[in-house]
Amino acid sequence: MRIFTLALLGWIVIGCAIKEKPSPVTEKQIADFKNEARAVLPEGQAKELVVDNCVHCHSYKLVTQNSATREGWQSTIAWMQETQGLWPLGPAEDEILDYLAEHFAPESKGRRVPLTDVEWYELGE
Amino acid sequence: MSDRRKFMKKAGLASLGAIAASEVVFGKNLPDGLELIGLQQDQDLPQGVDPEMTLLNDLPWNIEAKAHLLDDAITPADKFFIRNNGIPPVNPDPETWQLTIEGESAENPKTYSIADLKSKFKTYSYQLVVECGGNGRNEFNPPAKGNQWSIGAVACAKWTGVRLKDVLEDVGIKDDAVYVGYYGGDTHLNKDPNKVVISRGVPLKKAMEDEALIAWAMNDEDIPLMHGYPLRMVIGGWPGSTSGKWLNRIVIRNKEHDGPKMGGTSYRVPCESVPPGSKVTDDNMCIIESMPVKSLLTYPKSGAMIKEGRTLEIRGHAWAGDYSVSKMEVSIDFGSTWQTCELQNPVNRLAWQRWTAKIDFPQKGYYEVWAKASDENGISQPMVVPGWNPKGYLNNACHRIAIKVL
Repeated sequence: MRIFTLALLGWIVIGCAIKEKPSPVTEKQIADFKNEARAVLPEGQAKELVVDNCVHCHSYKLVTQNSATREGWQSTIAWMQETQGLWPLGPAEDEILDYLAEHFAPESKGRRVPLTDVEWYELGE
Repeated sequence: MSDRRKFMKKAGLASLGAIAASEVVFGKNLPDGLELIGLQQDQDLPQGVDPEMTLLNDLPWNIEAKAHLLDDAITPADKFFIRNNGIPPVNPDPETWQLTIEGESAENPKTYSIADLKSKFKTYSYQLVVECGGNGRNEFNPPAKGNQWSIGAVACAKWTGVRLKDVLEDVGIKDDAVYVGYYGGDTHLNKDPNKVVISRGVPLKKAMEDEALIAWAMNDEDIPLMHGYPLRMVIGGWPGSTSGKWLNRIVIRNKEHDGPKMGGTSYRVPCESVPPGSKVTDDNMCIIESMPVKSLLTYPKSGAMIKEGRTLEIRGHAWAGDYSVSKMEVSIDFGSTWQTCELQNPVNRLAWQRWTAKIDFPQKGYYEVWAKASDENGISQPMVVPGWNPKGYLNNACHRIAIKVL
C-alpha cells in the first residue's frame, strides 16, 4: 500500500511538473518575432506564408543568413518535417520554395573569398 | 507604414535616440531587405554578452565572437560564443536541480543533486577548448545549411566540476558499455515540452578521460544561463554539441547513442570525401570526433595601419582537438614563405596554446597575415577551405588578417 501511495504521489508530482512547465516563448514574443520578420523579409507573394510557417518556431534570421537552390530549400523543409516537428505545408510549400529560391539563392564564392569589409584603423604603439 | 519605416527596428529606434527615417541620407534608395548598419549594431543581445559579439540568430540564440575579442588566455563569459538548439530552461534552481545517471549499461542508476556532486566527488578545474563543429561554415561553396558561423564559434574557458568518469564509476559501468549520452533541460523550438532538443554524447573512452567534466562553474563563477546553468558537460576538443548544457540526465549506452542530432547529417561528415555539392546518403556519413588543428590571430584586430619600419608584435591561440599543437607559423606573402612563431605549451591537455611573433614588413603596402598551426601528428591547417561536406563542418582554413604599412 505504501509503495502504491508513493508511486501515486510520484505520478502526481511528475505529472504536475510536466503540466506546469512554463512555456519559454510567449505568444506575445512569437508575434513580435513575426512582426520583425514582416519588416525585414523581402516583398513577395509568399512572404506572409514564410512568416506564418517558419517564424512560428525560429527567427527569420535563420532564413536570411542561409542561401540555397530550390532543391536545397526543399531538403531543409523535409529535414524540419522529419526531425523538428514542422507540419505539412500543403500547397503553400511550392509558393514558399519559389520565394526562398528567388530571394535567397546561392552565390558562388570559389574556394576562398578575398578579405572584405576591412575596417581600417591606426594601430597605436 | 512607409517602406523606410521597415528598416527601423523597434529596439533599435529606442536606443539610437529615435533616428527618423527622414534623417537617413539616401534612406529612400536603400533596397528592400537591407538593414542600416547602424541599426544592425544596435542588436538585442542576451544579458552578459559583449556588445561587439555577432548575432546570427535570436530564436534560438546563436552568437559568435570576432577574432580580436578572443585575445584573452581564458575566454571571459561575455565573449564566449552561444550555440543554442532550443530554448534554455526558465529560472533553473541549482538547489533542486537533479542529475540522473541511467541507461542499459548503468549498473545502479542514481540521481544526484549538485550538492551531492560537490560533496561526493573530488573537484577539478581545466581550461578546455570548446568549438562548434560548424565554426567556419560560412565559407563553404556551395553554401551549407545552418547558422553561418565565421571564425568565432570557439572559446577556451576555465571549467570547474567533477570528472564524468568518477560519477559514471560511482553508478557502475557494465562491461558492454560503449557510449555515453546526455539530456538537458532546454525546450524544443516547436514548443512540444516532451520533444528532446538535442541529445548527443561521446564514446565511453572519451567520457573516461580526466578532462571530461560535469561542470557547475565557468571562470570561477556560476555558469551563465546561456552556457548551461546550473550544470553541463564539458568535453574539450570535440564538437561543442557533445558538451551538453542544462544537464539533467546521462545515459550509459551499450550501443552508439541515438538521441536527436546524433544521426542523419547532424555533426557528421562524409566517411569518404566527396566533390562539392554532392548528395550523401545517411549511411555514408560518419560522426565527427576530434576537431581539427586550427588557430586564430587575436591581436591586432584586422585592419591595422602601421608606419613603415615598425616591427609588429602579433599573437593568437592554436589548438588541435585531442592533440597538441607542435608548430605555429605565419606568412605575410600569401603563403610563399613562412616564419615560425613562439609557441607555449597548453596549461593542461585540451587547452589552447598561446603563440606570439614579431613581424617586419619589407616595404609599404597591403599585407595579409596568415596563421598556420601544425599538430603533433604533423597535420597542418589548409590555406583554402577544406573538404566540402553537406552541413559545412570542420572548416579549419588558416585565419587571415589585413594590415597596411604606410
